[in-house]
Amino acid sequence: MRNQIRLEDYRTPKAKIFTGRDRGIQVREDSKIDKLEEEFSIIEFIIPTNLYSINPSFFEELFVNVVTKLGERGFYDKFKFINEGNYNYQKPLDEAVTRILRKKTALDI
Amino acid sequence: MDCINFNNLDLDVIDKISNIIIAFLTLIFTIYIFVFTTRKGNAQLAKDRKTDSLKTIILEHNLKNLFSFYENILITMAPLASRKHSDFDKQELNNQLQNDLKDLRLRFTDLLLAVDGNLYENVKKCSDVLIDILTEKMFEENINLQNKSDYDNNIIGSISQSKTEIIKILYEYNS
Repeated sequence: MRNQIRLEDYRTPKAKIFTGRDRGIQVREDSKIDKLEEEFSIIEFIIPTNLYSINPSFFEELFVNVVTKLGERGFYDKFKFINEGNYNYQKPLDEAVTRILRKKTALDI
Repeated sequence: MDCINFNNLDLDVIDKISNIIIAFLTLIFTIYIFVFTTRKGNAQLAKDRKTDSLKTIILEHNLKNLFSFYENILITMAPLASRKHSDFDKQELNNQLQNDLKDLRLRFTDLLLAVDGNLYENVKKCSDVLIDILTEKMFEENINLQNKSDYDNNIIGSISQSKTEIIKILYEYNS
């Protein structure tokens, strides 16, 4: 098991986008991201080339457990994003992280 | 004679004990009913309070933001009806859709968290599904969005369906 997740490995052939909660859950399970998080101190997350959209719903389900566990700072310290293409993944990623923590904070009160 | 007196005494004791037991059970039952109805009343009061909060604090002042979201989505998607777009153009449109979705969260959906976590989840999921569907439709090679019928079915129809779904969620929570 490597400390690396290549999003390309979970792309539907020829797909240009990653969308949807179901897809996020599927990639979370298939990539075993929660287990990787427990085993490694740093995890590389590779965003592939020729990608035009990743919606927040996808990121939210993919990262829900690790962000809830690590918090925003801990998550960005541990997960190193490497962008092989030009898609600006940061905006939907930040939105997903905010949503996860927003809900967690509200439920904790 | 002694036997008859003893039996009378016996029956009298049994009668008194029975009365005590019945009185005790009546008391227990009364307390149970009081506690049950009080709890039910409190639960109803809490629900009424939540519904009132939803109506006055959130819906009266912020429902317009929900409708603005759908109007903005229509505006964002409109260029797809007039000409074929490159993937980079579509990326820009998707970027705007994400901005619209974030605005909705900040101006409407997040407020629901103060009232009910499930309501928040349902509204958020419904708006997410719309953005996901529109993203998929715009990148789908087999759909010609310059065709009015295809555009209406795939884009206008999805937006309309989402709006109905969210109004239904809000209405069912209120009723």
